[in-house]
Amino acid sequence: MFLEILKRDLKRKKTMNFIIFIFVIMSVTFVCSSVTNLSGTFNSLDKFFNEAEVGDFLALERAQGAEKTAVEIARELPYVKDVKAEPILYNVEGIKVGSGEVIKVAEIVMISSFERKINKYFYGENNMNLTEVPKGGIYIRKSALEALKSEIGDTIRITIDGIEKEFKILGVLKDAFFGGSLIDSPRFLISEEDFCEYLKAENVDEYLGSIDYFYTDNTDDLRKELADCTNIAFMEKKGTMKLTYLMEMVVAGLLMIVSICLIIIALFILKFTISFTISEEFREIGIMKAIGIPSAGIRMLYLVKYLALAVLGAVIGFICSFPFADMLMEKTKETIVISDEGSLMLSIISAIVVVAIVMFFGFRSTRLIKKYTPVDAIRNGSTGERYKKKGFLRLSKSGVRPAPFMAINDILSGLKRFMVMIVTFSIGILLVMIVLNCISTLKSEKLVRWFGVTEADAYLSSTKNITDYHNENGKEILKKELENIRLILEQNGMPAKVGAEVLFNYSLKNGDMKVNSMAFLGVNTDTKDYDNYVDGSAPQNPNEIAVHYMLLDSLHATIGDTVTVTDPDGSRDYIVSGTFETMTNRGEGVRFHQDDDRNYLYMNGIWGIQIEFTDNPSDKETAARLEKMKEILPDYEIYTPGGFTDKTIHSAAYLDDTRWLVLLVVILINILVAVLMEKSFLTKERGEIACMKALGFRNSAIVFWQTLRVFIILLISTVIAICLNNPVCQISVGSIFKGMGAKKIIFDPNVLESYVIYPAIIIAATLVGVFLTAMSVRHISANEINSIE
Amino acid sequence: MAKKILEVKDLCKTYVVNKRQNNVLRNVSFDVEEGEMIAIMGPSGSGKSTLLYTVSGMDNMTAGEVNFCGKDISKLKAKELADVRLNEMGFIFQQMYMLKNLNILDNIILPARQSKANKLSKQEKNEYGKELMRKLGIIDIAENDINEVSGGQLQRACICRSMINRPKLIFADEPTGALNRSSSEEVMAELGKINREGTTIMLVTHDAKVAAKCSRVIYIVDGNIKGEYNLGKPENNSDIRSRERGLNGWLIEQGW
Repeated sequence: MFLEILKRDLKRKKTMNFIIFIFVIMSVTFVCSSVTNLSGTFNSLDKFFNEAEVGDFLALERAQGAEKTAVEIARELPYVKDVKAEPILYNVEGIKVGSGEVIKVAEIVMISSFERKINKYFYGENNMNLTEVPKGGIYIRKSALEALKSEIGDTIRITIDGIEKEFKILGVLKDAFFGGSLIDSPRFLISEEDFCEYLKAENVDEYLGSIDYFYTDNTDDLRKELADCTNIAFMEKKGTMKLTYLMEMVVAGLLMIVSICLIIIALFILKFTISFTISEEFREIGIMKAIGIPSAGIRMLYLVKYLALAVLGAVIGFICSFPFADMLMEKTKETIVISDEGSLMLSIISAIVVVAIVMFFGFRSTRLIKKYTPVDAIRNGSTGERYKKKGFLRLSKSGVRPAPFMAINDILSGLKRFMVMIVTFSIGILLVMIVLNCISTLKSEKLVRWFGVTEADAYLSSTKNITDYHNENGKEILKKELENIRLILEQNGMPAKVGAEVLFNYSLKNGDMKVNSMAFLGVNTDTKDYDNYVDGSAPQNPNEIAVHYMLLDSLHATIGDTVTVTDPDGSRDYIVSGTFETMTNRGEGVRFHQDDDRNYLYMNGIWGIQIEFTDNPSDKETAARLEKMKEILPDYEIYTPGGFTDKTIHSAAYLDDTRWLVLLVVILINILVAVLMEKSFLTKERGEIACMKALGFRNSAIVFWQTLRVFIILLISTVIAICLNNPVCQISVGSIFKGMGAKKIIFDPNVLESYVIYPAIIIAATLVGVFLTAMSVRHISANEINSIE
Repeated sequence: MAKKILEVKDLCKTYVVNKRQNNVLRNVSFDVEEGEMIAIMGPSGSGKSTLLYTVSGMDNMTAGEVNFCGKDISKLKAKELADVRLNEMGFIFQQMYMLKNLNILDNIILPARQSKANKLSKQEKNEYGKELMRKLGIIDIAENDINEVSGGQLQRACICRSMINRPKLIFADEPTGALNRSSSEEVMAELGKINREGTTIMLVTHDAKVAAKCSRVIYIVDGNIKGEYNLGKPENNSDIRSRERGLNGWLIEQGW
């Protein structure tokens, strides 16, 4: 008999059962895909680095300069188990693409031979291990492919010391060491034959270097030993190298936040739907009790129903979770090898957990059955409605028309029934706002102060070779160049102050503590012009130095201490005048006084030529000048402050794709939740709608009432999201920026975009779904009023 | 001769249930004159309620013609039909259905607030709603929630709601069906009072006592009008008892 009742129940209460069924599918899809993604991204970098067989400590070394190479030093250390060196060639001249345009992907592009490679490379969607590179073929990383405006199959021409060779792009490389979006210089992989042809170049030694892989458990001591090796342009331990994937991790982190939110939404929806549907059943429960069916039997009947719906929904949701998880992780999978290992088992467990949760909610919701007598149960469901509270507002005292009045009154009288929508919409809108906030902050002019430059009107990036300054007269050459820029600008009616940052890499020592760090030296700027000091003051004299607050901790030093800076010419002591914050090189760096005399032979690069107009032009005039500068300074790339930060961390474009993905997911979830909730409201309010129709309300007025109610809920959710936006951003994204070296970032949201346009898009899309669903009131006939239970 | 407010000609209504055609109304024709109080009686399943809902435009007709105040309601669009129901008709249902989030007064004035044809001000509409409640003796429950009042009070509130836009015709589907005897008598007394004030009423009932308070009774069996009994306007309480006796006799003749 139970099965018969169950069958009839499933048939008769199609809508409500369908809603539970759909929500179970949604929950399982969200939970399974989210758990898979969380497990995939949580350890993804560790697995990626391990599978790529990257050493414990890594260094990028020039072929000449020091007495002993890093490899030679390390081989003498007892705790270093193994050392491997992969020879590389530097391309500094830009790459010619099919159209003939020469594009400079980075200051330096490293060219490796597949035969001489140390670590493993992966390519393609299935993370295939790269096993060969044929002659004339080349593999490059995704961001380089985009920078070169090329596609797989296109040809590019690479020149090293006068030898130009053509390559066909065979695929996109997942390169653990040089694949992170914060690594400016990419590594390209070519065949041994092609590599050998480059080695025939006359001055090949100037373009030759190596990537060293050190296998040791004692990376701290190794770092101290290598700190004096002036050949090293860059060294870092494997763990820290993972920070170069910060942007990928920001995206993965955002997806983690999305996933956690989806799980919360799923469980919340389930709880609400089950308790909502069971409250609809009191009349039937009373009748069953009255005819003598025991409480346990009635309870069992409902639990069997929930079990049937949950199991079937879980199977479908489980299947749907795979494409959904893939869709969320698509962007991250382009650069990182994400392991699917164990995800199937996790998904199965998640689906079973959701079924258990459904049963738990069902069990809890049906516990009232035991307490009710038949009369209680029938009375509670006597009109299909359980009255608790009367209306909050009074139509007789209100000036608005009935439909908007009812919409507002319904919400104020029973906020609980709209809670699923409020929670879902608030979380969804908040997610979009976090992503937008992150993007607008990364593109913001205000962020420029966190990149080791002064606040200026424009920034220039030279397309000249770094080797032009690589000599003892480098400072004069750079000063002359800056003066030349200033004169050109002045001749064109743009009086300006022109400065630049010169980057070095030095060994720093405080007692036993040694670190290797990047260093800034301003040319034509004053240390006081920089607005990024955290404590203490800017260096006032050439014997003073400012140190990044994280680096100062690593040196176990404080303001006022003396630290020793070493280069091949010798060592010099500096007094730490203060600390500063910068996201350049992930929070690593020191700043010298502008009058300090450093040898340009050991410089690593020129950073952001800064143009500050001295005649205070308007914003419009500044924009026009930037356009003009493109004509009069053809050897330079011209950036606005926002463009300069974006160029530096390449993040906004990366996050742009995430913006659309999160927006799409949020809209889909909102529509799904809103449509299903609206359907359940229509089922529950069928009697009221029939009554209104009988009284002469038009369909349009009823649809307006239903849609307006959701619109108000969406507005409430938007306000909640706006209120939570800043604190949640600081907790989530703020900590990411902190990891990059900025102590406390000030978010710079695009108010119109974050708080108006995108919420409006979400609201509009959700309302279309609700409106179309509410249109079904046309099928409710006024004469149903007497047949409604 | 009084003006005809409702003219029904050859009205047919057919339902198809499980591929079986069910002719609920078969060529029903009758008229209702202004100021009349007419009762539709008949055994269960005879088509009484269907007749009420079809002639009031709440349900579609299969064939025939229904003229309400000169308008053929079968030719009206859904919007126009809704407007007619809102402004020119009133409805009272057996279930006393009201909107749960509104109190009694708000439920009563709801159709008035929705109506654009009702030109009274918001304040005047409120006052008229209260006036109706006062007339029907339920002014004390104006601010009450709908679950705080008795069935009789609720049904009187439904009568107030049906009258709020001063309709030309009130349709009542078993208005006393869910009430006890005393509440039933109170409600019928109010309907009689409204009718005497000039409002036409067409009601469906199973109860001969209720029907005896009407001026005319139509008896319907299997979707056909089997007979009509003209009672005339009731004069006083003793008159009611003789009307009941007369009506019962006629109903027995019809097979009641």
